[in-house]
Amino acid sequence: MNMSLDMSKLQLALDGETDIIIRRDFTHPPARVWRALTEPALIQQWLGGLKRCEMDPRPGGAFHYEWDEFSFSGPILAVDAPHHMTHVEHFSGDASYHVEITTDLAARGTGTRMTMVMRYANAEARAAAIANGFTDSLDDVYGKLEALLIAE
Amino acid sequence: MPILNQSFAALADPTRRAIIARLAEGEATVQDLARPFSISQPAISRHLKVLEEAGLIEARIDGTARPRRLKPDAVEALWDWLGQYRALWEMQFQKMDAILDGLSDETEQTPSGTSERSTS
Repeated sequence: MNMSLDMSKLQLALDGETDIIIRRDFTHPPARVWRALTEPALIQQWLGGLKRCEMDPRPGGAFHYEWDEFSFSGPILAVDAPHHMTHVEHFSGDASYHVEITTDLAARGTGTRMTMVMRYANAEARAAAIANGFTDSLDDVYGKLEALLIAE
Repeated sequence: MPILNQSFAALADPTRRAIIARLAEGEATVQDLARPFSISQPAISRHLKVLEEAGLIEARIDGTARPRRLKPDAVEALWDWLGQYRALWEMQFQKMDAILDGLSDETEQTPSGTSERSTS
C-alpha cells in the first residue's frame, strides 16, 4: 500500500456549527484550475465513474454529476470566472439535502490556492455528512489509517 | 488516546459504520436499526454495545425503550481523529493535479460544455 501520500498541500477544518472548510494549493494558475472544475470533459477525468456530467457555470445555470448509484446536482448561484463560484448541492435529487458550496481560487505565486466552504443546513446535517463521508470513504482509507495509528 | 483507538476498532466493522451513519440522522431504537440489515436484533444489540463502550453512542431511557443516539462529542472527536479522512480528498485533488499538468496554454480556448463520456 502506498503510504507516501503528501498531505502538505491540503487543509481541512470545521468552522462554527455548520461549515466545513477545505483549502488546497495547486501548482497551476487559477485559469487552469477553473477549467478542471468547470469543463465536463475534464471533470469526468478526475471525478471518475460518471455516467452523466453537466456543468453550466453561469448564474442561473446548473450542474449534474451522476454515478450508477447516486448523483449530485443543483443550481449555480454566482460565478466570477476564474476566481469564484457559489453553488448548491443536492444529493440524488433530494432538495432537503442542501449544501451551499463557495469555491474561491486565489493566485498564489505562479499557482492557486483553492478555498471551498461547504455550508450545511445545521449542525446535525453536518454531522450526518461527516458520518456518511467516513462511512463511504473508510473502506478505502481504513488500511492507511490503521497503519498511521499503529505507527504512532 | 485509548478512547479513540477503541472508536477506531469499533468502526472497523461495516455494519457498525452503517449504524453510525443512520444515527447521524437522528436517534433510533434497536428495532429501527435492525430493519435495514439482514441480521437479528440481538446481533444489532451486540454492535450497539461495542459502539457504546467506544464512547460513540449513548442510550436514552424512554419508558421501556432505549433509543440510541450519537454522542455529540464523539462526532467532534472522530472528526479530529479522522483528519486522515483528508487523505480521500487529497487523492481526489492529486488526480486533478495530473489533469492540470496535462493541460497546455494552447488548449486554453477549448470550448466548455462538451460532455464526451470518459473512456477510463
